[in-house]
Amino acid sequence: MEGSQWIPTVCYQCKGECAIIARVENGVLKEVRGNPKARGKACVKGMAGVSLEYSPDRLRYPLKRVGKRGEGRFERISWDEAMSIMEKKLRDLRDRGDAHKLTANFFPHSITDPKWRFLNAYGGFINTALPHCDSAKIVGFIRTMGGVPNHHIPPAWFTVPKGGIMILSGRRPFGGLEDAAVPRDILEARERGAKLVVLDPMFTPEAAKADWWIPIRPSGDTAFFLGMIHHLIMNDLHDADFVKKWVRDGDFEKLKRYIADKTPEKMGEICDVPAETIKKLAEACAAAPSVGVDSFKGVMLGNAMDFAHAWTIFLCITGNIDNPGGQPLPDLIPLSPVSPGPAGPDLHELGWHRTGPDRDKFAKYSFIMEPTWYEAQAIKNGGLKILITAESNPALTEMGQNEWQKAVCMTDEKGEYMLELLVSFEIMMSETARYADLVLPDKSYFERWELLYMPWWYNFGHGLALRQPVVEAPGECRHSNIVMIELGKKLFPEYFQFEDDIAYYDIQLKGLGLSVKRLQEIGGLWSPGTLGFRKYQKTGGFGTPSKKLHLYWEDLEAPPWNQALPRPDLAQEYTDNAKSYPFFLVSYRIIYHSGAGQWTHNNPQLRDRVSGFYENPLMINSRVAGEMGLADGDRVTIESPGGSIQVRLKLTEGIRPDCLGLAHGFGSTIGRVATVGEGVASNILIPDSGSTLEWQDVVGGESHVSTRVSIVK
Amino acid sequence: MKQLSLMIDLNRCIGCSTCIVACRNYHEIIDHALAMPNEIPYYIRVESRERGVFPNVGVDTWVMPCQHCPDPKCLLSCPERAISKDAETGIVRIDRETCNGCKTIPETMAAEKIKINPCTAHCPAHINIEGYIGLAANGKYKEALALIKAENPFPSICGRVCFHPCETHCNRGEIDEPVSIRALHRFLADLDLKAETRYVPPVKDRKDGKVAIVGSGPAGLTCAYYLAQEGYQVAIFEKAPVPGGMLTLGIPAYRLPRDVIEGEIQVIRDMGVEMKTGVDFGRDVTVAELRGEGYGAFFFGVGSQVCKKIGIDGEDLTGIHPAYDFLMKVNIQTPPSLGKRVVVIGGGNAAFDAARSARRLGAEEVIIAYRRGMEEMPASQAEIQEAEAEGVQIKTLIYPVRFIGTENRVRSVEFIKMRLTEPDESGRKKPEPIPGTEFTLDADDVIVTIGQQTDWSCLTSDEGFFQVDPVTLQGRDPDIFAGGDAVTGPRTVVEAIAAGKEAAISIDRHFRGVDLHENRVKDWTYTAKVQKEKFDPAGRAPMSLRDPGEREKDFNEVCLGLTEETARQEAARCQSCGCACIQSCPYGVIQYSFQKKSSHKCDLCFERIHVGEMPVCAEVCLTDAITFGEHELVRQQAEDRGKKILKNLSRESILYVK
Repeated sequence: MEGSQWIPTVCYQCKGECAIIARVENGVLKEVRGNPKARGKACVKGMAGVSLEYSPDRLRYPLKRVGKRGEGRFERISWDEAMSIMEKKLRDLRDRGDAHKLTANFFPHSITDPKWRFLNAYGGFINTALPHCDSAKIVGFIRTMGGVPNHHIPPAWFTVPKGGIMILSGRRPFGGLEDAAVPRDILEARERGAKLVVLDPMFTPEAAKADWWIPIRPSGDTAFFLGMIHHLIMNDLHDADFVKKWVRDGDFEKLKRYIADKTPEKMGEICDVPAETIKKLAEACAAAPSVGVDSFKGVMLGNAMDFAHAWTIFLCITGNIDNPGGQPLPDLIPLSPVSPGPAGPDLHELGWHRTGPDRDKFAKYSFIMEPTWYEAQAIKNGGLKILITAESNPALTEMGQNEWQKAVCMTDEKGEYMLELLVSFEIMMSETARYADLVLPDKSYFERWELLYMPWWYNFGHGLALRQPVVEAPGECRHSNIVMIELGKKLFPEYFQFEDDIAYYDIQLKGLGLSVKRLQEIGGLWSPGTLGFRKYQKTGGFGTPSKKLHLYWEDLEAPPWNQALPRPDLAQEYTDNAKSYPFFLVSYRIIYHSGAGQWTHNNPQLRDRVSGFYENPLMINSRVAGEMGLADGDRVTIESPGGSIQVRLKLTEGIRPDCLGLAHGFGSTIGRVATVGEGVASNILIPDSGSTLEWQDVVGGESHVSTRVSIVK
Repeated sequence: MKQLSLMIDLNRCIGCSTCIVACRNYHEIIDHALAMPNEIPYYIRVESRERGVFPNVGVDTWVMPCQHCPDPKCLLSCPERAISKDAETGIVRIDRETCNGCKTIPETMAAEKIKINPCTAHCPAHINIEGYIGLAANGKYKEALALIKAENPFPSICGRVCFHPCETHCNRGEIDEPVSIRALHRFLADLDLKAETRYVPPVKDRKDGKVAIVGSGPAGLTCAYYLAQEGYQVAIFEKAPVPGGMLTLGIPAYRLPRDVIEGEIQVIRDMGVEMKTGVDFGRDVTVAELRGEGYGAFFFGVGSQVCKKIGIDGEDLTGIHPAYDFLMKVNIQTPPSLGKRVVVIGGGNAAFDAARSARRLGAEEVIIAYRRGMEEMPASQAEIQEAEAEGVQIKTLIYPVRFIGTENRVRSVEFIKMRLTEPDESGRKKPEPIPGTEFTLDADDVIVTIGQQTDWSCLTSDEGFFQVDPVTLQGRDPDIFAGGDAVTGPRTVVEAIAAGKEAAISIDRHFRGVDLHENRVKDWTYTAKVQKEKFDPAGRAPMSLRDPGEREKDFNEVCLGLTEETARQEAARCQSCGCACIQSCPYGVIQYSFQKKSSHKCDLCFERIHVGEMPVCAEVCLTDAITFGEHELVRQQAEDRGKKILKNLSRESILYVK
């Protein structure tokens, strides 16, 4: 086509960040594809990026709040004014000795992200902007294996051999947040003769393609895996050679003693799966050439650390570590340091300032970022004074979102806001931006430079990808990274002795003999080689202190933790209030929407009934609905200990009778497209995390994001 | 012709819609800045089916692009000849230059324009009315008739006696008067009445299945018509000496001339259907016997001819005629001799047929007695007006209490006056007698037309209405189907045609061993927006009737139809609420482009494939579920790889496998 060009870059419709190519014709973005050099797929959200780019709701100019927080009244200001407001507030907070009371709430695309550098230099926190994320999984893997195995990334499904087993435990990889090539790779592995097993209370699109769907009780997967571990060990079906060679001395014996009474029968009662099923899958796994498990925080998000622990133990005793079809481990490539570099925050030290009366509960907190879900509580404790959000929407994604909205509006005795400054970098107005003091128009992922260093990258195991501008940004949009670099130069120039983001990336790339320009020339992607298996054999072990696999977590032995080995019980969020609230709420993800950002919910193609997901009815088992005298399309109220919402019912055979399913992320109140339809926010039902601290995972940083609910006609 | 095609693998399709969005972006059928959900055109959509009961459930998803049909109905329906099937590739294309969006474009969003028209939605046979009217307006009469005959084997008959719900719901009625759809229908069909030039639909290669059809009314004949086209061997068993059922036995010739019926039935004979008249099914021949002879399916379209009784004194007196018996005698046997004064009880079309026939048989005074008011009368307005012109008197709000006779012959009828109260479940006001208002009317003959029931003696075990699945019309035995008045009670010709057509689809699926239910229920949401400003009011073209004084003397046709000039004038009144091709597409894949004011659809990325690229959907498919290639080769490849071809879905050129 005339004047038409395909430019390689990286998608950011979700945290999967797939390598894409974008077709630009006379300066206008027309189409998107997966990058053929990186497994070649982009999903529906990626394709619909064109609609995001040209949304009439794009923010174009910096805005300053003129009314009260939450009123949504703003006036246009200059970038100079916005910069000086931020600079003044930041200096002021630091001069008071309260630098740790800054939090930036954004997705750390990469350790190369200059925003991260700014925070380290300042002495503040970063959190992930992703309360539903997989911090417990990462902590679990670091504890057991001594390395971040993968992030949003599953086992390398393209390496699964014939006869291999692929287990999806509460994970919906056909729904995005993983590389877009994952669905194809899973289905191709099946065609090669691998088996797909899905553990989920709902009949997911993955279950529709699975060899085996196990409709497990929410939060039951720790028990399920412990039942399998029992069966494997008690029947000598585990990989004894691997265990002998690679598991730390004594750990296996401790596990064996612990597991003795965790019989499939007992565990089956907890997870509501027949003991025979648990045994059958355990035996199949023992016989299979490989087993790969993909999960985030397990089946419906309960006790995620225990699940991560049971999951890693299962992989260890079956020898499925860094083998084809099993759990890959990363091979880190060093980027050149940008000297001088600020030290990272000491979470234990700084965090204690933040947590106020709850500090003891966080004694074993071990994730590298602070828990997002603690934000509202930190404001109330006086521990959070400046909050900068970028590409995130906690006012809608926070469990107990109402509590977050209340917290940012709280004032002290002088009538000043407890949270002194709230800044929102966004490409369109969001619920969070509506509360912000400054709303800053960000560049979309089609308009900016970003070096993405991805040790967890699905395609090659490790690598670099370049996000580069393919079109001009509208109005006065500026990338948040540039803004933070500018602020950094003003506040601590010693750490920002480079011209701009490209110069910063160039320094980092130097050691690899690369530069941004060079990376651009070679197609925007770089990797040192291929995936590589059983790297621990060459390097002499794992990244743990003993270089062996740690099945036993001795630092969590003592009360109140009692967590040296995984606990099988259902999460407390599911057992408390069970009588008054008979159903489990299953909040689930769909391919069309990523979280609760405006990005996908305000995208007409992703809300269109033909090509997207319009609204989120409450999925209920047909038989149960019949017994309750409820029909398809009925409007009901669902109540939880946290709140209540009105929602329309959709009857289905594809859900457990004791569960109600609600797609996550709806309920937007801003945006010409986002507000159409009857979508509701499931987070209203989730009790505020700060006030239900006994439910939360204060080791792995995961918050509980579900609850029990009842239906009121 | 080579046919290029897509193969969709249901083992792989996860219904993620990636292809839909990529397709829109490539073809630039979306304005990203203006688009709102549910109003964006699309060339592909996702369909799905769920089966089973928790926990044994299954879901299949697949994409539905244009099927590039072997005989595209859209092509047939386009008045501008803007649609073609490319000879080299078999791709059905719409020429954007020639397509004018069916001329008249109401200023609505595409979402409105792509909906079905109210006329087609309300026609029980779902004829593409806009399509044939558009063709007629352009003088393409043969094409127009072929389009009608795709959905209805009896255009001449329906052009005369249909109750035309299409006209009732015609959007033109919002401006002045509805388009005279039925008259246009008749005009087109009558051009085809000559035996030597009559349109006979093509019949496919002979298939193995043998089908017995019991009853040769409109339901049975329609079922035969469609099954014969598919290549099945069809035999019809009729009790009466002549075929046609109610068409022949119930409707008088002055409304529906016998040669018209005969002409359209002859088409079905010409298609190879065997007609066995004078066979009392259940007595002369049974299901069991025919099963033994290799008949694999039965359709019972036996109608509803047993007249109901009022249940009052004197009903057995001589001179009291059940309507159906009376009309049958008039129509095919010796008409009964009537006295001077005839009272007809009832207010439906049968009452008027009886009354007007009675006039033609010489009765001097004919009175229709109806228990509700004129407004509630179920007979059509035209029927009432024509009857009144012929001197039939109508008395409303009266009901017979008893028949009074002497020497076993009726002499008078005692009536009671009625009044209307609250509406009943049929929505009509309920009549109730006013005590003490009895009076008598003299009568030499009385014709009772208060409804009919079905005689199921052709089957041995059932009573009352035959129990069938409302969608598939399949009975308890999988090889037995039934439809029409026999199942629903007395209804209309076009509803019987619709039932016959559905039964034919079911029987074909029954023989092919595929699911009878799948994709049977279509969404008939229709466009309701009328753009009044664009149309100057212009009343309907007049239809000429014979003079009442002359016509009441014989059974020759009353209505004379439209001339070519008035027909084209009338056709031009159609507003083209939608686009003709959109109305015609059985898969609902044609879209209307509001920007370009024309219809558009999937062309398998015609431009791309000519430079060696894949269609966009196949290129971007997240799971590589879509294969592009020559249809036969793709099919062969699927078979070689042990893929099961899903016959239910693969009815046209796109192949679905699992």
